[in-house]
Amino acid sequence: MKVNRKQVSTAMVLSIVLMLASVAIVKAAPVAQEEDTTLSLFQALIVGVFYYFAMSPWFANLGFTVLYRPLIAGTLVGLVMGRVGEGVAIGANINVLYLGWISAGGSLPGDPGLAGYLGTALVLGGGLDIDAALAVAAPLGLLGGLTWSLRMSVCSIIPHWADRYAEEGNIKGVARSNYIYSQPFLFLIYAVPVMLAAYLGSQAVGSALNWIAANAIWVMNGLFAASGMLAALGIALNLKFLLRGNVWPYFFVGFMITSLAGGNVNLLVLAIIGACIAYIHVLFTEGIGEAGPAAPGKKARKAQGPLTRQDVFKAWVRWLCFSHSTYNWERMQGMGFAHSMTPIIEKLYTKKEDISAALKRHLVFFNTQPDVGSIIHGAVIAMEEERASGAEISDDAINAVKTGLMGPMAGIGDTVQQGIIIPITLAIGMSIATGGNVGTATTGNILGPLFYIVSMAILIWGLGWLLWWQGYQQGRVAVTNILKSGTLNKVIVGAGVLGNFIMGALVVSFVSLSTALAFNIGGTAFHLQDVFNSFMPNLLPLLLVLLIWWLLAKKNVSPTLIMIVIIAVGILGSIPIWPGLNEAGEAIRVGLFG
Amino acid sequence: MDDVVGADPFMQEVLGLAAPPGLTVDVYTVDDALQVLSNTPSRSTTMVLMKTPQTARRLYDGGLHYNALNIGGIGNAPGRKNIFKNISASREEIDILTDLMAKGVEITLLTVPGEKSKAFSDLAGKV
Repeated sequence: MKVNRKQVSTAMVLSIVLMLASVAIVKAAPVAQEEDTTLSLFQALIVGVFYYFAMSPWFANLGFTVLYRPLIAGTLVGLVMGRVGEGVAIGANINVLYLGWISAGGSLPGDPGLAGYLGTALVLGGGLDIDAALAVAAPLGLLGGLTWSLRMSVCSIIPHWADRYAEEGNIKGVARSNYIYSQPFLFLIYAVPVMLAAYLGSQAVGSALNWIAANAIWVMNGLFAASGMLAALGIALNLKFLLRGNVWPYFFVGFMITSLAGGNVNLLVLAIIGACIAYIHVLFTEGIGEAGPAAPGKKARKAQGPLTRQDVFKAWVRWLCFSHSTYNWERMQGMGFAHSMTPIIEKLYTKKEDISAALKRHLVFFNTQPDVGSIIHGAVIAMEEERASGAEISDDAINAVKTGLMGPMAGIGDTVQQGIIIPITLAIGMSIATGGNVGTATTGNILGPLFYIVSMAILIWGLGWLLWWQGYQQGRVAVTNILKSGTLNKVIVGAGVLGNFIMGALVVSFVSLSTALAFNIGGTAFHLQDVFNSFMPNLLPLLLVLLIWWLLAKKNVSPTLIMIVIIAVGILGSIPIWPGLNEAGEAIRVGLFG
Repeated sequence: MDDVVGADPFMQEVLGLAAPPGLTVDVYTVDDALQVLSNTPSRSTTMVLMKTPQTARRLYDGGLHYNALNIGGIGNAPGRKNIFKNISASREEIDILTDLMAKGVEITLLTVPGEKSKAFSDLAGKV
């Protein structure tokens, strides 16, 4: 079997080029000419289109995993407005809240993309300070749930069109209904509202800020305070998954190291230290050198059908891009599955009734994690090939593999991809972007988002194709072979160590909370914050993160409620009614937060 | 518990390997599960997973009178209608659930932990 490596790399490169091209188009587009801070209708449109891109299938699964993340969203909006540095910093800032964000089983708890695109546009367009970005963006993220339900319900219509094409044995028709028909609708519900909200909203934010600056400046302080505290919610959400088992001490190690360094550490360096610690932990607890018993049946199946590696690859590319393009409540990724099988069906079957039966077989309900789940597709392709070559394989047997494996693979896949790969890579990208000082950096480093884009492309594509091909070569036993090898478990344990370590460091660089309370006791100035500092630097941020973690993990308080309380406390607490001291040591009224 | 998976060693192995560390997975056919659950009550917290309302009915009729049942997901298939998010059910399945509800089982629909669960009684009249 000749491998067409060229084709593989061309497809990969094409996706990156597409993404870079859109960046270039934006750079060439006229940037704001009148005033620095306004957002033209054209720029607003591009912001809307980017948000659609993030939810679209056109970037080989880098839409949802890359473009949808606030770090990248902020960068792109910054590019549109000719203020990349600020955009990167804002994106990183907003992203803190969504580090532990997981969308599983078709749910969308908050919308990082909306918070990222619209949030950055409002902050930049409205002329708001970067430090306050999170308090503006966080409530926006809640609105995303509305369009999500609409999308999932409306797209439930399309599978019925595909059913008709399948009846006729029309392969192209089934493919088309997956990747084309939903897209104008998605464009409409994603790009248009965001365009209008960005355009009108940035003007509204601008005038609201002018009013606040003139009449109630403490509200601004409230937004800063709330943003600094919301970062604690983002980290605590992540800790809900990480802070368990015997790896929790690494959270405190990461925190203490960063805290001792005065918060000014290069997080890439810190990540490397963390990775070394993770390796040592795994070495001592699991034994890295010891391979498990050699898994039987690991040898490749003897090729016995007409499929070439190219056919299998073509199917994978269709899945990679279009697994979610017609995601809907009724069949979830069913249409994506059928679409990915179209090159296989085309090659294997010639009779119309065989084609029709195969299309119908794969248009049924299916839902898994797209990257790790690709092992299922590989195995199903192998079964289809054997069936077409005359083996007795029933529809039920094929369905049993699909429905049996999709759940377990989704569980493992979401843990690995959304729980480990994305947060850790993002955290490193965010730290590079802001030089380790997310809360206070006013301009970001474009290398951060670039690091994230490139790492994700390698990880997501590499993992997806590897598993897809293993599934095809080994059949369904590939699943047990891979799970039994023990590598996965070591990776999960190691990632838990690294994740805790990095989260500890992020508490220092992301969360800001300090108090301005001060008293004059017998002629001596007594600043409460100094007391905290003498115990331990960054004590308040640490306590806040642990408090929120406790509320989330032990008391089942909803993150939305915590978010609302934080914003309220931030703003109301900034009303200057509290005792404080001015520089001369005279008693004045201050806000709670300093 | 499922008659098909209960007889399929490969799927049992996959389920065991896919479970998070610290959890033990036992797979039984429905009849065996009834035996095990009624005769050797476990003191540790046990989550009973089933694939269809039909199985839930067999469990109940077999004498295990549970008082709460959550529906986490039923895939769409010919004859099934979408009732809530990614949960679908056929007429027969809805009737089974309605009947269980009438017997005092509190039925909820919750697809992902952490979300708000929906009571089946809110849907019962409409589907």
